[in-house]
Amino acid sequence: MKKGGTPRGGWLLLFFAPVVLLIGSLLVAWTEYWFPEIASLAPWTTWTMLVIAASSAAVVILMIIYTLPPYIHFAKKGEEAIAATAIGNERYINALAGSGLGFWEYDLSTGEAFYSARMMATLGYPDHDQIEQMTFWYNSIHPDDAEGVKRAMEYYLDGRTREYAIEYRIRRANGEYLWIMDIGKATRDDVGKPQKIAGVIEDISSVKRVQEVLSARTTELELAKGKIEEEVRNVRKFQKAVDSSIEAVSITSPDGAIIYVNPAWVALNGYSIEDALGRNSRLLKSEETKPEIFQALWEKISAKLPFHTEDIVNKRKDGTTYLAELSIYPIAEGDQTLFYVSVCQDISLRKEIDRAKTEFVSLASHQLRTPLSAIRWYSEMLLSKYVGELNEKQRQYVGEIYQGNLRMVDLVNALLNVSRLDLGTFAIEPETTSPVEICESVLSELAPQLTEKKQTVERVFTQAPKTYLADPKLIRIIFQNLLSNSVKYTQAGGALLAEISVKQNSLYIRVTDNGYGIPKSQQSKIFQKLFRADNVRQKDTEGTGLGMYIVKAIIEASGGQIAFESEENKGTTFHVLLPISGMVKKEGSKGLT
Amino acid sequence: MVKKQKHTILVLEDDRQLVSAVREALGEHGFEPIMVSTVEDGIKELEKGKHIDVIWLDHYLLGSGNGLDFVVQMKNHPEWKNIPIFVVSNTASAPNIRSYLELGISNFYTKADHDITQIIGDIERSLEGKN
Repeated sequence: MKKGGTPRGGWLLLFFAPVVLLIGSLLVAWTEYWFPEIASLAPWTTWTMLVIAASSAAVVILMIIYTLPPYIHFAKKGEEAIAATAIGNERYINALAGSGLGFWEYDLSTGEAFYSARMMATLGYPDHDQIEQMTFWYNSIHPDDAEGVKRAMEYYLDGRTREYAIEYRIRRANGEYLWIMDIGKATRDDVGKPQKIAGVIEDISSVKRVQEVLSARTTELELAKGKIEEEVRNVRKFQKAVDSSIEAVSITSPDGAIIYVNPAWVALNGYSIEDALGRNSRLLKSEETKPEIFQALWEKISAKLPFHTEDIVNKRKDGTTYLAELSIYPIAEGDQTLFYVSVCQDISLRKEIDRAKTEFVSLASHQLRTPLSAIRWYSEMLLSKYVGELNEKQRQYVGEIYQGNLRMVDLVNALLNVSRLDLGTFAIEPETTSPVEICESVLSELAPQLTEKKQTVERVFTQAPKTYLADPKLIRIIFQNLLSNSVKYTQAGGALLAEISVKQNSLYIRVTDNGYGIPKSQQSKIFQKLFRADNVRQKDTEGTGLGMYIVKAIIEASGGQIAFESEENKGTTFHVLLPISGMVKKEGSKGLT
Repeated sequence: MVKKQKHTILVLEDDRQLVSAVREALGEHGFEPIMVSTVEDGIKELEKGKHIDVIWLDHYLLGSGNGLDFVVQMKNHPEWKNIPIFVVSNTASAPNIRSYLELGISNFYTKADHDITQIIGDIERSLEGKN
């Protein structure tokens, strides 16, 4: 509201009206007193008094007439102002109440504070206006925020900041904290010293909660974004790796349609990427691949297991074929197969080299046999006294030559067996055999060692089949290796067990010992060529490292299975299952020895 | 051994070292060995008409023809077909061994796997059985 001064003339009236009236009264009194004494004036006394009185009255009336209207106007304005203020206050109060804002006012000189009913209600106190000390407010602020609020208030009151507006937590009556927005304005005196400060608070807990949720979501999104970016980088890395792999990689959907091929695949098979995508992976299928390979492939991958083969023949776009090493990895999520990753390599050359190498070993071993026979027979003849009696030392030395030669013969035979197994040139010639008899014959061969080491052999033959259709040489190799290993790798005084029975519709052979065992770390290698476990290599220098390889190859070629369990210094058990129907005849250029 | 009548054994073996060992060992066991190294010479020895009790035969031989050819010729000859044949070889393949056995040889030995006395012992036993 525009500020107006009081109207002019008010003071004139108040001061001069009594003076005029007093002067008028004195003049009337003087006229009353003096005029009768002067006879000539006596008749004028009344008239003069009347004139004086009338004049003063006229002057006063004139003054009133001059002064009164502005005052009437002023009074009216005042009333209007009061009315307007009242309406205004009501509006503010309504606005505050409606907005949910709480109102407060602090008197900085007294430290007294006024809190509106709304503010008290917001803080959880009874819903009416309250006069309190400022400390009531300050003590309610959350300890973590108190210092900040205090500073904001001080800076504002000092004039260092232009406004007081701050968000902080304040304790409600029930001890909970509430987020509020507090905005205040100070009234200052002429020199700018703050007198009072008043303001409003707003409950912004819900806003804060939203903010917190948003902030948490933002953090989550940023993390997710980071992860996605990393994934994208990884995917690019893998894509690059796969693209630059020298092995042919392809990915197919569960229905067999090709969805990705790498450059090596394109180079190997002669199909362009465009040729390949969308086509069924059967486009590489060749008639030269044995049907059982595909059967095994489908069995594995439909069980969601990886499949590996070195026996598949693939056909290129130009119709030429190559022998491939193929691995297929089903990629599944839960029960659902998402796609298959295939890694493929042309191994024609490698196989050829392998074959040449194996043939070389075979040939060399054959050639070794003749000089070995000469050593064997001549040392034998020396020992047979044909050419006279040897002295003890001579006999001992020749005996060592003879034994060394026998070991060499064993090694050469083992190498020949391996080369025949590897080349697939070995023959299987099944006939009616007695597994128990073969086992007993092997045991009788081992009798000298068993006696020397004072080892016992328990025989569990009661459930053994009388006859079994098999190549006796192969059954013999199985028993020979399993039993001689048990004898060799079991301490003196140890116990062995040989079982022959029928289990799982198969001929079951079990050989158990309580010997040195196979170290856990090396168990996966025991069927590898030329492998010998560390613990036995230290105890026994003999042994070719070929026996178990040969045993496994024979069993698998006969459609059987071999498994074992072993614990170091506890013992080893081998389990062999062979089809009860017996071995199937296989033509081959060489028998195993 | 001296008291026994000496058996004549025709040995077809091509390796110099082994020829010598076989001759010595057979001699020690009271045999009268005739050593040849080709199929051709073996047949010649038979044709001489001298009584041959038993044959020691290697598969691979010098000259043309191998042990199988020799056996075939023997089995086709009315006078020779009953002479027992012991094949002693390091290199015969499984089908060859089968062929030998089908042609009716007495036994097959892998040289490196057997002591010479084992083989001679078997030959002696088979001759004793025959007598």
